[in-house]
Amino acid sequence: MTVLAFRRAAPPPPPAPCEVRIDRQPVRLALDWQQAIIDECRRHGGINPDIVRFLKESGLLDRCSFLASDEDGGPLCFRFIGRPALDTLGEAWGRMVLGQPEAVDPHCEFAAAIARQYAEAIDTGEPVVNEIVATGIGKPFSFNHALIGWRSGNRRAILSAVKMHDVAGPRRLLPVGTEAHAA
Amino acid sequence: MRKTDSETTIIAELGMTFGEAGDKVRALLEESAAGADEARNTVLHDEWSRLDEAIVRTPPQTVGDAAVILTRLICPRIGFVAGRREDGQELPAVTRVRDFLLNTSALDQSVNGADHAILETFKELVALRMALHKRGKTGGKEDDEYDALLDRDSELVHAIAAIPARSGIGIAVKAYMSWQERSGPPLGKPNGIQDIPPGGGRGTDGALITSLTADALRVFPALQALADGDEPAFLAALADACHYTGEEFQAAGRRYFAVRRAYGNLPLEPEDHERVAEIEEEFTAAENALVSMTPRTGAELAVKLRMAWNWWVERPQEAHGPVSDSDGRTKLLWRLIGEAQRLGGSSALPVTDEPLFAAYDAWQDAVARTIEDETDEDAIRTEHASYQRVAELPAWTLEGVLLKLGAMAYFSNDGQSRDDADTDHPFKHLRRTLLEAAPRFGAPVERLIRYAVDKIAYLDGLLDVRNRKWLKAVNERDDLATSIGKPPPPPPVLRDDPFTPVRLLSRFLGDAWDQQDRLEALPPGMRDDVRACASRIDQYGLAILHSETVTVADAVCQLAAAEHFLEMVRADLRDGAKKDPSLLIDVDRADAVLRAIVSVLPVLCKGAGVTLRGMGLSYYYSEEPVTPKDRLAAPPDPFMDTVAAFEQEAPAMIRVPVDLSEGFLQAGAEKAGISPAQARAFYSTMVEAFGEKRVA
Repeated sequence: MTVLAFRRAAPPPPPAPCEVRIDRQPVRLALDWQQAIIDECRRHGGINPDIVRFLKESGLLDRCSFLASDEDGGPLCFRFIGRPALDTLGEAWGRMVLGQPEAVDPHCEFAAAIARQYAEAIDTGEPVVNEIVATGIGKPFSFNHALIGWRSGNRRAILSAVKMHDVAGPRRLLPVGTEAHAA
Repeated sequence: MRKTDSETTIIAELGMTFGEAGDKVRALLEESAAGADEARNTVLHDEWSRLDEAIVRTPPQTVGDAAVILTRLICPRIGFVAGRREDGQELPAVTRVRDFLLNTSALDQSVNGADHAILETFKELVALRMALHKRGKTGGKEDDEYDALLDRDSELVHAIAAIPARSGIGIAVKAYMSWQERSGPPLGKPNGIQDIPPGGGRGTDGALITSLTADALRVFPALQALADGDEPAFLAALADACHYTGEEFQAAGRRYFAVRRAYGNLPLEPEDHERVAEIEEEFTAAENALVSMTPRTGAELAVKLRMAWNWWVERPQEAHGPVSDSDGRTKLLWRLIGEAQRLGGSSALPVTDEPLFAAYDAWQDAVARTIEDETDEDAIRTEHASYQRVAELPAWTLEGVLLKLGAMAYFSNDGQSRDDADTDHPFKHLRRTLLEAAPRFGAPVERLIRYAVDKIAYLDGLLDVRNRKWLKAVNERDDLATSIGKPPPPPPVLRDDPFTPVRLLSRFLGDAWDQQDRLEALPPGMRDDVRACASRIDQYGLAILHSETVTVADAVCQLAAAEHFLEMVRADLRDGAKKDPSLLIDVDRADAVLRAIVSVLPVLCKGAGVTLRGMGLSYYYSEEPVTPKDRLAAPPDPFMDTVAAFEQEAPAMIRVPVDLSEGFLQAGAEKAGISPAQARAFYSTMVEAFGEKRVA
């Protein structure tokens, strides 16, 4: 079964017509752990590696994805992909897009809609919280994310803290020996 | 009938004087009357009607001009048709007017002297009041002579009131006198006026008369000298205002047009090359002479515009004005000539700082001479007098203001001690005249001027205090020495004295740093003088190092300055070390010295009872000492560090298991129909490939 999942990496999933609905939520309605991440980022003021340490120590890192542009600007590239995205879109997808610009994402319509939210969080410097429903990419799925953006000269970065609602995505492929943690 | 050419002025459109144009018309008419064929007649007609139109249209500026126009009007061929009145007396009447004009020497020939009568009367009044002031009232109650002078004074005021003003100058004189009559002259300045109260006088009439007085001073700057109680300067300026006739300008213009005609009439293939070269040379000289003249009336401006026209047009058919297919710019230039000409000869004197520039030049010349020969007493006298003049003359233009600011800064940097009793010091006058000039340029420039004046005055004040302090200290020490007949003891080492050279320079340095910060906050295009600012910072830094160390606080400043330079040396060394690694040891040495300075400074500060911030040195160090290691390290980049931290975590999320459990291998081998060993090899090859090329 796992090998089959692995094979799926070769042919990218065919693009399907998809529909995305995005509802903006006030920041105070973010989940408590999203709130904790927002608070931590605010406490640092700017972008800071200590945020990664905080996420790792609090066990929240897995629930986040992180995208950043290169040193001299350019598109946002996936730097870290969290469990919710991998569970929903597949590990193969994750392997394919890691280190790549978000535009390479084959779920282009979905990606474009999300990219607009990223841009807003980066440009305003204010956290953005959305309730999102997507249909047309595999089984319909819905989730909630909190976005924190940074900008420094040409460079941009975005942290996305995601909570999936009743996902029925591909089965997880866990690193050996981590099954207990992932439960 | 007509007098000489010198008494008619130039008609710019034609490039010739009224006199020349009149003569030319007459010659053309005579040729035509002598019997020319039809074709020739057409040419003649075109030519004279062009000249004639210009003569009739152009406003006369002198009696000579008027006479030419009248001559044209009474011409038997093209003038009035004779005898509209039954007795036929019109033509003789006009002829008589013309002759009267030409023969009346009493008439002022120059329209520039439009307000000549007012100015002459005013001049007499000024002289009279000077005399009154000097003489004072003698002979007890009865002083008939004094009373007679007073009567004359009142007569003159009435006389001026009775003369209609014909230009801004006349009106300015009357406005000045009105304010004088209303508020009375200040004490000791019989011809002066009370200062115009800031914000205008009381009531609506007060506001109007004060504003009118300010206008008068602007329109006729010579009055400022009078207001300041400097009658000689005023009379000198008045002479210039009264006697400008434009004769020189007219002469230059006539010469230019005459030579130009001669030049234009040269044969295409000249035989006499020497003559041609001569004319060419003469033409260039005449051109240059006219270019250097400043027009002061509309008519004179028209002459220069006509010269510009000659340079502008290239097609021969446009020589005497635009043709139907001339472009818009050409037509506009031609219109300007006519419009300027119609402004005529009356114009207020332009607002100019010429006297100020002249005084400045004289001062600079004298300074150069005294540098060459310190004993040149004439030069020293001139230097003082002309500087005083630069200080006292009002500034009317921005150039004048800049010049005065420069003079002020010069004096300030000179650091000459000023005695408090010396109330006539140029510095004072510079300050006053600059503050007076400031409101003329609108709010933003006014603020700038006030800021500059305050800043310079501030520096001067510091130097002044310093000098007085030093003087006092030296005197006390010497007094002490003589009183006990011993050599003076060396001055004790002080902890701090805010007026030592080093401390003063540090303050300037602080200001320069401030300025640099402000400049760097501007958009890139506006930062031109950051470099100048940086070089000033360097200059102050060097001066601090070269100055005598008097107090402990001085030592602090000097060490801080040394650190500033050493940091730059270190930066250069680091650059050099990229090519020549042997320099790295020098970088280390510089680091060691920098570190030592950083640790020594706070201790010194404590000893001197000062703080770095208090001395304006917070630019070198924040109050919390920063270790040199941090200061010298490459600036941290939290952005890239964060990205790297996330990336480090990424593979763990999507790493494929390197070793599979036996169950997995069995299932795979069965499905593929291979042995578990083969399946393991198969799988590990794939994982290896995945490691090398993560993306499929």
